[in-house]
Amino acid sequence: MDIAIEESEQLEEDIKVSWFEVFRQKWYAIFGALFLLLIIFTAIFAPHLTHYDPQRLDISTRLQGPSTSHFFGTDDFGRDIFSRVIYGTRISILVGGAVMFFTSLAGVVLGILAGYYKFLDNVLMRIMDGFMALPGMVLAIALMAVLGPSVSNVIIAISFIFMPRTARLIRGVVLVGVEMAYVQAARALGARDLRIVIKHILPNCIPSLIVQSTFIFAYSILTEASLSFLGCGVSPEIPSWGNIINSGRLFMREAFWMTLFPGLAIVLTCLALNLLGDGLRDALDPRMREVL
Amino acid sequence: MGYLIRRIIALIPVMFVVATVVFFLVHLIPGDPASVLLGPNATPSEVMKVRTQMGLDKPIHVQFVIWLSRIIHGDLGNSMFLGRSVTQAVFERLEPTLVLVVLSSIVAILIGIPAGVFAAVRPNRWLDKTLMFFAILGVSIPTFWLGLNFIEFFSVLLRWLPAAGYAPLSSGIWGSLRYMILPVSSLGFNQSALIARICRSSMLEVMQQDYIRTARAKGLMEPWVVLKHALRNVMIPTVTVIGTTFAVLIGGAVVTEIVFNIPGIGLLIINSVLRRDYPVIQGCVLFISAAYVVINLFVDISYVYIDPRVKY
Repeated sequence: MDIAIEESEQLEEDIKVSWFEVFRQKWYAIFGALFLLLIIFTAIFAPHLTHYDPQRLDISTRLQGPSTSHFFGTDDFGRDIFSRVIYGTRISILVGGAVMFFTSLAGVVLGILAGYYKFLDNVLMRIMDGFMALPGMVLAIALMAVLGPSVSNVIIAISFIFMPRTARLIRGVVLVGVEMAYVQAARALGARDLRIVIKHILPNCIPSLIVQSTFIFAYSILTEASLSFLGCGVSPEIPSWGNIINSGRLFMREAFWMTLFPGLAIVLTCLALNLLGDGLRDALDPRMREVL
Repeated sequence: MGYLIRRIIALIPVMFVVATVVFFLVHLIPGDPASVLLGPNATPSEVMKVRTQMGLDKPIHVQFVIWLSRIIHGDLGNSMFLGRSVTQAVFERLEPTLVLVVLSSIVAILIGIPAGVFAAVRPNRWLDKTLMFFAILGVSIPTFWLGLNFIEFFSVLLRWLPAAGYAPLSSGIWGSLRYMILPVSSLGFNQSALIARICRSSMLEVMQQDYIRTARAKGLMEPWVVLKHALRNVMIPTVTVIGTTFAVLIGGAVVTEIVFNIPGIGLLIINSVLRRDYPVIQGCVLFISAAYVVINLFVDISYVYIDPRVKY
């Protein structure tokens, strides 16, 4: 008996080591993780990284190109683009992080309910099918039109469009988990539903959830930028990357830096997240590991 | 045939949920939709009039039943600003969006499938790595930003192509295409990245199958192994992803239409948002969802033609 436990612990240890090993070999995923840390650092310490107020108007420095005093140039109101991009990381990280949190929460709850309770499965999944038939971006625009522009409404709208995907994913994992011998054994021992779900089923969902959340983070940043670009996102005076690009659109000919730098910020952040997500998927999903 | 009928019946609950969400969309407006619509200067009698006009004076379940029976009859209501029915407004704007979406899909398929196949033929070699880097880049670049850069480079700097606008198909194919090249490239690039990634991973899976080994063992040349045996099996997941990413494509199309000032459904939606023309927004969401559902129905049916083993 003791030997068996020791062996299974050893096996668990092996699995833990090997996923980290696989992840460590993916230099691009490491790069993605480091870049993401840099972005989060930038978001937290934004006021210390620039001495310009992102909102300060100064017509005398209107539409200046990149220079040593204004790294990314200035916009049509003389505001420093570098500070605006730096402060923009706050919006992107906030939106991405909050959407990741809410979709995971709602997705896990709905996914477990649907996967664990057969009688709920049909109803919940038909509703999720319906939600998924609503085109994400268009629905987000419509929701923003109704709710009005603000950061929290952007988070609500984007969470709503990604939540069904997470719910479906978790349901799939739970459906497999419920059939497992150890779950049936736990049930035979008289464990309550809640205990089975938390102790035996939820841990299996974590790897897929982490991978999915990384991609959702990236998609939320893109969606927020698109919404703000369209004028349906966060209020126009808030420096978000999409807003900066939107205001720079009219000055593309004389001030390319107004659209170039915030755009690059979006691309690099999403690239980092997608590289990280790819690395995590290869490392956490053994099925993919065999193929690669 | 029996499958087809079952599949169509399964669409009813989906469309019911869609219709419900779209119906309640307007009721999410904080406060009274009628007074929000009319602005702060409206008199109470004006507000009352609009409330009756919109049917807001009736209890909510009655409103819902009325709304459902109307949309089942194809009546999406009337625009508050355009002076015509929503259906009419949508169909007037359909051509540019359709051209944009169809051409972008073609471009995406023409780039995505070969990219995925070439990447998977020699996994983890430089071609695979380069192609997959571009695929990840493709899903990381915001479509609108790519479009703006295309305009800057190809229209403003090189003066090769028009920066924005649309010429209807009736004015001549070439004239119309000239306007479409940049929007279609920026939207198609994004979409091709999604297709390439799915195509590559299913190709990798297929290449490990026994029938591939058999084909190689009988001395078939590698290009034939790929073209005759592998590619056909890769088509099912690839076609599926083309269907499911239609929603991403249509979202991208809305943004692209704004960037390139194409008078399609996307521009209609955004203008309606600015004007708070809620019936048009509702109608567009409903219309696009229905299109998405129908496209995925066709995707399911197309499996029979792609893979003779699939029988419904």
